[in-house]
Amino acid sequence: MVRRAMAAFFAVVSVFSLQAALAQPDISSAEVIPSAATFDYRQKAVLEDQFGFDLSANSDSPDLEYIGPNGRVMRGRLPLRSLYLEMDPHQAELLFYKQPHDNSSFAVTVLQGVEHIPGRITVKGSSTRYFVKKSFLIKIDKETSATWGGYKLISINALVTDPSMMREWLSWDLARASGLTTLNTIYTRLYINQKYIGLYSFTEWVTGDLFARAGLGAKGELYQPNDATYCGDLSGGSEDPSRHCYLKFAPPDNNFSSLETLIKGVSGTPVKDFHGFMDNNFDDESVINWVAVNGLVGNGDTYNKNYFLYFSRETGRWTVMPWDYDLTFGRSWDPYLPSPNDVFNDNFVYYYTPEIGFPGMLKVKMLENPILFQRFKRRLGHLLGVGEPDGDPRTYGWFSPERFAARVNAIRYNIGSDALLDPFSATRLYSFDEQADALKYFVLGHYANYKMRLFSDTANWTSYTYDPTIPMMPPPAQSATLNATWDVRAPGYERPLVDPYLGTILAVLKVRTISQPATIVGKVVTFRPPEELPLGRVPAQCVQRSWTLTAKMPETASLTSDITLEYMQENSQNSEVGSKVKRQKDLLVWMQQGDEWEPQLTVVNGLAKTLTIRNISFPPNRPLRFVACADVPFDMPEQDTRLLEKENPVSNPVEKVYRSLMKTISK
Amino acid sequence: MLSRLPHWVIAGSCVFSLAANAATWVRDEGEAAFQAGLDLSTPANKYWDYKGGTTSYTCGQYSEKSVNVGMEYGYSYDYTLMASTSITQANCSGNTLTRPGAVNFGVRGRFDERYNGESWELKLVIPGTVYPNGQPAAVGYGGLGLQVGAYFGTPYDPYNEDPYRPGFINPATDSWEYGGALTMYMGTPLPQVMGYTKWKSDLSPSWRVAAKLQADWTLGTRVPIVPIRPPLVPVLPEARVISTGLEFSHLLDENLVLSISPVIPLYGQNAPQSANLSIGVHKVFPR
Repeated sequence: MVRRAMAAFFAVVSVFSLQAALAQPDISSAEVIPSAATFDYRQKAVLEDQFGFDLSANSDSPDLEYIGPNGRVMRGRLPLRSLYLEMDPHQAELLFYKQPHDNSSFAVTVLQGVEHIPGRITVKGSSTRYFVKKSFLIKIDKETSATWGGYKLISINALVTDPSMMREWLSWDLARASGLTTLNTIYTRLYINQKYIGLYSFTEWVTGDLFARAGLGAKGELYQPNDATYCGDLSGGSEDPSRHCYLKFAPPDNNFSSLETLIKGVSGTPVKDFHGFMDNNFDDESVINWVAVNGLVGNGDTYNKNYFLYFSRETGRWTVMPWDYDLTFGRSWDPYLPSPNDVFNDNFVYYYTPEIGFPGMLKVKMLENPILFQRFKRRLGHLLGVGEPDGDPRTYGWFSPERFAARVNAIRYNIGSDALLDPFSATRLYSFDEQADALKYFVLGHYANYKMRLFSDTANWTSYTYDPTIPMMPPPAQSATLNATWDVRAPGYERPLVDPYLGTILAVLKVRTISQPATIVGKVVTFRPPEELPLGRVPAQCVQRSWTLTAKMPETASLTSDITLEYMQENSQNSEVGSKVKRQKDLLVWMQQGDEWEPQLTVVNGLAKTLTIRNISFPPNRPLRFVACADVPFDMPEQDTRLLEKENPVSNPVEKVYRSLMKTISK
Repeated sequence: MLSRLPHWVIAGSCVFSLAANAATWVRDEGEAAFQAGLDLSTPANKYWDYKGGTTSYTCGQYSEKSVNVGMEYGYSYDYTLMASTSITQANCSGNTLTRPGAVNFGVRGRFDERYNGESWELKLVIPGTVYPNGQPAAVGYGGLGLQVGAYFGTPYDPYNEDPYRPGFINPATDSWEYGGALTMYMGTPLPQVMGYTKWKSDLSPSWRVAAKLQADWTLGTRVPIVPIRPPLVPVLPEARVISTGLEFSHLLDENLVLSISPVIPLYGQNAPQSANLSIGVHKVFPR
C-alpha cells in the first residue's frame, strides 16, 4: 500500500512517454518524460513524514531518470559508451607507469566501427596523476575529418578519487536539473588493445560550443580561476594581472577588460542593489543555481577555483559553469591532516549549510541580498522537493532522498560489474556497495538538515550575513543533546528522526511491524563518552555518542524496526571515534534493556559512519539505550614490521644514502 | 580537486648544472626550457701550473666573466634536444679579452622508460672560434668534439603514489644526484672527463640547497699553460680541477627558477686559483 501511494505520487511527477525517442545512439533506449500538468506537492511531505524514504527503490532496474541533452528529462538505461583504442603496447604501459606529471603524447588509433581514426593520447589532470589509473585526453588528428561521436577531443576522467564513481555523474545531473549550462558527460568503458582498462567518464572539453548549445553563442569570452593561485573569487583586486587569479581560454588573447568590468561591478555594487546587478549581468538564474547545487552536493572546493565564466556576446551577460565535483557528497578537505590525506581520507561530512565553500564575493553578496536569498531558497526547495515548486515540475524533488536513491541504485546496477572488474580499485578501503550506500545516506542527512534548518517552523538559516571573523577551519565540535519525536502508525521505509533545531539525524528507523500507533522519542548525546558501557569496555574503544529511543505506546502494543545510528568523523579533530578503535568495521552496537547489555548484529558502513541493527523490538514505554564499541582486544599485537616498511621512510641519512646506492647498483 | 603540484618536478628538478649544462631530467614532449647564467670568478694572483705547482700570473691579477645560455626542448617522451653556448671575458690587471665558447648541440634520453631522473646525453661540441697558432689553451678552442654523459638522480616511483593505497610515501625532500661525461675531440684538445656528485635538499616548497663535488680532468699529457701575457687567453681547456660548492635555488614561480652557486677549487693543474660565483635563471615553458 505504501509503495503504491509513493508510486502514485511520483507517477504524476515523472510520467514518461513511449513516443518520444531520441536521435542520439547512446541514449536511444531512453525516453523523454513529458512535462506534467500540476501535482499536489503537499502530498509528498505527508507521505515522507508518514513512511520515510525507500532507499532501496529501483534497485533491480537498469533504468533511471536523468537529465539528458539540452536539459530534457529522460528515463531509460544509463547512457554508457565504449572507447576502443589501439596503440603500441609498450607505450600503453608507459601511459600508466611513467612519472605522474609527464605531458608527453603517444600515437593512438581510435576504433569506431570500421573507422580507424588517428590521434595522440596524453595523461591529463593535476593531483589525480598520482593514481595509477590515469585520466586521458585524446586529440584526433586535425588532418582527418573523422570524429568520435562528434568530438575531436576525447577527454575521459578516471573517476579515481571517487571510489563510488558516481559523484561527478550525479552532480552534473543535478546541475542540469537546476538549469545550469553544463557540458556533456557520459560513462565510458575504456579498452586499450582489446584489454578492459576501467570505467571512465567522458567529459566534454570546455569550449564555446557547449555554450552555443545553450543559445549563448560560441564566440564569447571564456575564463577560469587559476587553480594554483586560489584567488579567482571575483573580489576587488583579483583582477590585478600580477596575481594571476584567472586564466583566459577564449578568445586566446590577454584582454581581460570584460572580466575586470565584471569584478568591479561585483565588488562595487551595494548588497541592497545586488539583485539588479545580477539580473543585468548574469544569465537567468545561473549564479543562484550554481550556489544551490554546490550547497546540495556539499561542494566546498569552489568559489575561488573550479568554475568557468562565459561572457556571451549574443546576450551581453555572464554565465557560470561549475567544474570538478569529486570532493562532494561527504568527501571533504581535512585541514588538520598533511597532504595527501587532507584530501584523501575516510572522513565524512553531512551537515554543512548551503554557503559551503570559499567566501567568494559573488556568492556572499548574492546570499546577503534579501531578494536573491529568497530566490535561492526557493530554488533549493524545488530541487529538494520541499515547499512550493519553483520551476519544471518534473525536476521538483530531484534531490529528494528517494528519487536520488533510485538513481544511485540504477547506476549501481549498471556499473557494478565495472567496479568489480576495475583493476585499480582492489586495495580500496570500502566496497563499492558501501560507497553507494554512503551517497544515499549523505542525501538523506543533507535533505533532513536543509528541510529542518531552512524550511521548517524551527528554521534558523533564514538569512545570511558573511562574518569574516569566522575562520575557514571547521570549529571544534562540542557536546550537544539531540531530541526528536515521531508519531508512527504503519510500517514504512527509512524515516529519519531529526533534531528540530540542529537539523541533525538522531537515528533512522525502518518500521517493520506495528500493532498500534506509537510515538518514538529519541535522545542522543554527542561528542561525550557514554555514561554506561557494557562490562569490560572502556570509553576509548567506543564511539563518543549514546543513543536512547523510547516507543510510547500502549503496554499491549508491539513495534519492531530496523535502526540506523550515525556517528561523526568530519575531520581528524572532530571525531567521535574512540582513540582505541583500530578499525571502524569492528564497531558493534550494544543495546541496554533494563540493566542488561546485549550485543547486536551490526552492519557497519565505516565510510558513511552508520551502524545498522535489524528487527529491534521496542518494549512499550521503556527506553532502549545504545552504545557502539569496537569489540576487539585493544592491546593489538605488534604489526609485522615488513608491512610497515613503506610507511616509514628511512630517516637515518647514512642508511638512506646506503640504500639509495644499493638500489642504484642493483638496477 | 585541490592542487598539489610538485613544482620542483615542473621546474626545479631540471635546473641546469651550471658547469656542464647537464641534467638528469628528460623533458615532456613539447616542453621548452631556457637558461641563462653569469659566471664570475674572483681575482687571483696565482694559478696551478700543469704539474700542480702554484705559480704567479705574469700579468698581475687575473679574473673571468662568462655568460652562458642554453635551451632544451622535449622532442618526444624519450628524447630531449639541447643547445647551449657561452662567451667569456678574461681580465688581467685591466687588459681584457673576450672570446665565444663552443656551441653544443645534443640529445638526452632515458635509461629507464618508466622513470625520469636518470639520463644519458650525447652532445656535439663545435668550437666557437678559431684561434691563432700558438694559442691552444683557450675557450672554444679545438676540433669538433663529441661528449657522452650519464646522469643519475632520484627517480619517481609511481607505484607508491596512489594515495588510497596503504604505504603512500611523499616524494623525497632530499636526494642524491651524480653523473659523468667524457668529451673526445678531433685533434686537440685532449679528451676530458667530468664527474660530479650532488646532495640536494628542499628547505621549503620554494627553496632548495645543494652541495656539490666535481672533478674536471684532462686525460693524457696536457699542453702546458701558455704564459699569460697580451693577448690574453681566457680559461684553460686542458685543465684538471677538483672543486666543491653550494647551489641555492629558488622558485620565483612554478616555472621560473633562480640559482646562485658559489664554487671553490680544491686542487688544480693548469687552472686559476679563483673562486667562482654562478648566477642563473631557468625558465620552463610547459606544453
